[in-house]
Amino acid sequence: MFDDNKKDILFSLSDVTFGYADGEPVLKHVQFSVCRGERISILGANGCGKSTLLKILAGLLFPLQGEVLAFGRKLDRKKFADTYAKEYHSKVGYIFQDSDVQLFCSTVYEEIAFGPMQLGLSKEDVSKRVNDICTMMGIMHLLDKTPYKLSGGEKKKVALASVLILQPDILIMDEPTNDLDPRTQSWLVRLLDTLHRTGKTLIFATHNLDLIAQISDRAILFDENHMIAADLPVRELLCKEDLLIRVNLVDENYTYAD
Amino acid sequence: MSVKPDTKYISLPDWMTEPAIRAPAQPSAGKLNFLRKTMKKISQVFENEFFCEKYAARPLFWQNIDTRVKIIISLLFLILSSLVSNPVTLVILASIPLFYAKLSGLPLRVHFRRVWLYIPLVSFFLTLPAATNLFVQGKVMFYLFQPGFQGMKDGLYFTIPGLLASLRIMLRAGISISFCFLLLLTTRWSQITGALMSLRVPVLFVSIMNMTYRYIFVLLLMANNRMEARFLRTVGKLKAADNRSFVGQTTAHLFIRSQDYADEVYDAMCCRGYSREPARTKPPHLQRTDIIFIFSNILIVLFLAAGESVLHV
Repeated sequence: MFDDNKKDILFSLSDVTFGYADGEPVLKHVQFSVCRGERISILGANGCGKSTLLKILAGLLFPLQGEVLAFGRKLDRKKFADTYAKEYHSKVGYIFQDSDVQLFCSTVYEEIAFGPMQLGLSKEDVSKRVNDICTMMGIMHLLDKTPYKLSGGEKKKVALASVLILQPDILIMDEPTNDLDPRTQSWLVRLLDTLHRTGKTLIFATHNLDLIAQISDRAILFDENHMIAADLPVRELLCKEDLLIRVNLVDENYTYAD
Repeated sequence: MSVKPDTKYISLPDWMTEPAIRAPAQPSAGKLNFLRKTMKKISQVFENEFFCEKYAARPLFWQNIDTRVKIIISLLFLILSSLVSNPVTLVILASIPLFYAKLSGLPLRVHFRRVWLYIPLVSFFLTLPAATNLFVQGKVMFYLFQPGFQGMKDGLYFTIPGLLASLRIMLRAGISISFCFLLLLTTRWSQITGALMSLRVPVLFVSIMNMTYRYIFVLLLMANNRMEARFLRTVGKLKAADNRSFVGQTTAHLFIRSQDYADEVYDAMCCRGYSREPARTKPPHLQRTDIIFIFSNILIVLFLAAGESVLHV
């Protein structure tokens, strides 16, 4: 069993390096910890390894070198897939960048009910939870629809609902505002704020610098050499224009307006 | 639902603020896990070996031969393999692409495993029922059931001609795959399509091949992501029927997506001036090494064809 109470550190990465076969490393010597209740944004230029890092935290990839401790336990490829995956995935929710690939059931109801159906809840309980979460998300009218035919924003909401219904302790989102119109973005910020108030740990990978100060307190910035360039409070990092230019995240016209 | 007065926040259902129901640690669903891993491996092969041109970029033996020559020689060997029936000739034919693979820097063990341990073996086992005396008469290789068993007068046995026929099918399948793999791994895709066009293969056929090659990886990646998404939300016990239905839905989804992609790609091509007639580039002249390669391979083909009439099984 994973030990939730071992201090407040949920993730601890030490000297993590990851790469695909015969390719350049995608992550090099990554080292940081995530404490319970933190809100963290992972920043960096395209291809710096943000999504790979999130996949490692979600238990989809395993480092070539170094160690990842999650809930005080080392994530080991063999043991993980055989025994711990289910328990782990009920604690760590992951929202893909492309919601389309995340939705695999024939109706929205089945999609959202997929997780709780496996937990031994009665049909009535599952149905109540699905209705509650759909009311919260404003997607009750979509319940009988096919996920494939929804708009980008609706797909994102369904993907979020299908993960949140499992009550994960940690929510990981890759580019959370992709495909969202401004109104839905603002709704998402409110939702993430609410989830943070309930003690959830939130980790995002994003390019949206206008958003990160609203959804996170800490930022980890990756350099193009796939190493961490800075790990600072968000507002402090956003003021470091030279650093952001050096890692190729912004151009010379960038100015931070708090 | 508890409604919080502060409009800055969204009101959460009561159960969302209560302790979560967690699945106990339990073994994963083996079959779907196997499927997920297999698909991941396939996409890795595409990503790391075909698309990165890992072997095609090396200036070794088979890589230095003109692509048109490679295609024609491969076809020549494939035609020969379908015409000859002697297993010894077929085994020699099967060893030729392995020899070329070795000279071209392909890891022989991996190449052998990929080529021979799947499709040819499956072909062999699938044809085994036809190798019995029920279908092919001949000398007994070994008995499955002795004469008189359950009223079978002659019993049930594998015949030598039957097993030889199965072996031939296996070897022919292996030879075909072996040459295809050799060609694909050691040649840039653009060179293959260019060579096909200069060999007067219909443009439509080459265009479809090109689009398939470009988008097969995208679709594979999509299927992979769906598998991973499901794996991430598999927090308890699933029924076998659910797994089957998931595989069916994924297939249907990919089919629909590939149709969408095909339409979008065609529109994008039209927007960039495509008029159903891709531009042709003038094929380069054959080098001396290509000519030597052609003649040496024709000699091998003639030698094997002559040997076929000499050898008897």
